[in-house]
Amino acid sequence: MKGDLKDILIGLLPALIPLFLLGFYPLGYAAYVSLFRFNLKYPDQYGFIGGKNYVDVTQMYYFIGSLTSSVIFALVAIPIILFASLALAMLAARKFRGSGFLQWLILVPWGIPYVVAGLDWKWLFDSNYGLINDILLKLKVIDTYQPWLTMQWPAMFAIVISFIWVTLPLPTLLFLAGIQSIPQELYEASQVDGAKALARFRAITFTWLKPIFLIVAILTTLSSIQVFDPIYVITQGGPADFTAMITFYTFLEMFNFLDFGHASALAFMIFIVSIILIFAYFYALRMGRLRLRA
Amino acid sequence: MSTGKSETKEQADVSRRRFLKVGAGVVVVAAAGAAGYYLLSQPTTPPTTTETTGPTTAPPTTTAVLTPEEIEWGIWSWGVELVQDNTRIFNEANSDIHVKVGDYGLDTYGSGIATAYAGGKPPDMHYSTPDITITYQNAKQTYDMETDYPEIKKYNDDIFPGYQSGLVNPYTGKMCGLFYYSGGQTFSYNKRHLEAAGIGDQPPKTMEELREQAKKIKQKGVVEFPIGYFAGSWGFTECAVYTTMMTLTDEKPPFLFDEDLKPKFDYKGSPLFNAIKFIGDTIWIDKTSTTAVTQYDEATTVKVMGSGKHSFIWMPDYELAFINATDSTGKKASEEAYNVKFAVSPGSGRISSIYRTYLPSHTANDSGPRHRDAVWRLMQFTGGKTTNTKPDFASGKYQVVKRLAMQAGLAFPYISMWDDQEILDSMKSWCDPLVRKDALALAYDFFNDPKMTTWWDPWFGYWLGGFVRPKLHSIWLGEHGKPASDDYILQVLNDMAAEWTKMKQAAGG
Repeated sequence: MKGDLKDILIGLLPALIPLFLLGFYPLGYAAYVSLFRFNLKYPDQYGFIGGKNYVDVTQMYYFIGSLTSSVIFALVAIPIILFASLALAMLAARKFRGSGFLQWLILVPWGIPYVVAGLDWKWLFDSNYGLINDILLKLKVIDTYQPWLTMQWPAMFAIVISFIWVTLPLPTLLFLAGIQSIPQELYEASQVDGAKALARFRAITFTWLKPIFLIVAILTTLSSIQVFDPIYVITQGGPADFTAMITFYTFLEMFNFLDFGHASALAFMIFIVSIILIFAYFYALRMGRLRLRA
Repeated sequence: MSTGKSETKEQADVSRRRFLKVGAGVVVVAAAGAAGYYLLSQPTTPPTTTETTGPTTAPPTTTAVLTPEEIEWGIWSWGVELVQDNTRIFNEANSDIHVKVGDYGLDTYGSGIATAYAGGKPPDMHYSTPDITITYQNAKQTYDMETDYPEIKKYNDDIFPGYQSGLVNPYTGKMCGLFYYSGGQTFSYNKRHLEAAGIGDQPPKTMEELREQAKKIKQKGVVEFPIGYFAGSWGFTECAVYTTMMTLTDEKPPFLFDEDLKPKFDYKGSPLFNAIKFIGDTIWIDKTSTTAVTQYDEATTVKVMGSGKHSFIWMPDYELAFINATDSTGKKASEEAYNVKFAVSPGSGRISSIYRTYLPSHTANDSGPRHRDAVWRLMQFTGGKTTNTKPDFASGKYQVVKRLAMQAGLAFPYISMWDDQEILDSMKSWCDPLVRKDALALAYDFFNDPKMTTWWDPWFGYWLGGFVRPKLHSIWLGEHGKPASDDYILQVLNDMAAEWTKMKQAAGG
């Protein structure tokens, strides 16, 4: 048995080494730096300050606002992605003329980087030349071009939709794989028992997809918490910081204000929140341990 | 499931558990080892460099045949081909020096340079904005050229007064380098719009006249929003608020802080208060401007002025060269090409200056006098006077500065260059050079109002975010009244002053 374990570990080394170097080491280093006054503008003030950075960032002018923006974004984006991807997967799982094309179409945005998607949506919402303005004007919904990205909710919507567009394919694919693995006999038996569509969905589809639901929820939550590119590209945090989420200010602290201590504290706080949410998901879905069906 | 399968699963569970234990142990030991190694190898403070000021500390240079002194010139990704060509010219004419160009990106320039400084190997000389310059001057990681080359001060006599402070290290009082370029947030107007509205061809001379002309242009249906402001979410918000502030007041600078850097703008009727209110009023009362201005970056500004969306705007002077241009096929670069003109700004005429400098880092001086001399020679070629690339203050020309002016439309602070007919002729295709000169002569160095600080950028949000920028946007976007009340503007000014004081204290000021 010991020999087996050794072989397994040796086999896993190619995976563990990059995981350690690119995952655990930066994480550990961020935690370490977060305990220091480390601002490139003031190298003479460098030194260990314990948890002061954590206290300081919660008192920064941007903290409450950016946290609120992050929560709003997550509360809007996560449910939409969860249910839209499930709905798309159920649609794509059906056999009909063009279902193959639909599956291909669903996957296309996956290949688009967030930055490129952000730029696309920025131009679509542009106040002077945007296609959305043009369409709405032609439909007589508006009587003049509107500066959408200077309005709080349209700006947030632009970021959400850009994010969803690129994020949606992976959860859809996961759900699709799950749906296709459900034995058809279960549906046939439930129909014989007289179960209606909603009951079939709850008792068979949802139950069978629960582990995938958990994975999708975790993945989507993590990417929602970590979203940055669409903000940077579409609104730069505007209008008036309404879309300046916590990741945006982490970036600013690091690369504009050069305060590595503050930035690391923010990054580590995001990490802790992510971990808590993952456990919360496990608890909420009462999975205990994640086991995918054979 | 069969019993056999259960047994297999139990065995698998046991081995998985053991595997996880051992695996976790390996990772923890590795992490602890790495952390221990790191902590032991880590200096107690980040590496700082002491300035070596004299040739006595330099290594001996007695080699008979010297290899070319290699120096790095750090740039941002603009006009890279031009930079490479200038480098080639310099390298070919100076066999004892080899200049290597380091491109640090455009949007990522600040972080790229920061990384280079943090790593202890910044370029010997690099482009710099005032917020970048102050960062490394404060950290004592730059080198003042005046320390070993006092002749640099001669250039001061040839620089417009509004720019001279941009070259002085506030901590030492010495000149640190020379200019890459310098211009201003000049006032531009669309002559065709004025004529179409029956105003004639004369731009406004006062801010009241500006408002009146804008209303008339709107009433005549020429354009919906005659006044544009360059007030975007990325960079240059100061153009809108500082320039408007300076045009509206006849007070003497400094406008925002006293000599002890205490805020002096937080009262009703202060120049800053009036500027914020003026912009808000044009958006919400006159309706001659739009909230979209809070989205304008450089590219958008060129586009909106080129397409005739606005009749008036303050924008970086070089932008006009992109609007008033014709391509090789004779096609105009914009719909309004050659209709948009420079004018001396209405009101006081003062505008905010924009300048970028060549900043020598500590590495320029660390490797001894030969290396330092090489950097100084390169700096004079790129930002000063040379003859055949060799320093020649008495009778040389601003070779690279002139090339940038003629080929890229960049402005310059050197007074004598405005007598160079060749440069003036090159400008005539897209602007009236004398009006441009008059406008730039009134530029004020708002970065030094009265002096630059390390916390100005996080306070103002020069490039992104910050404390002030979103507050101003919030007022102009009508989030607190359309327009915001005087009391609310005052409240914002009080908040700005309080945050300034807090940041100043955090910086040890």
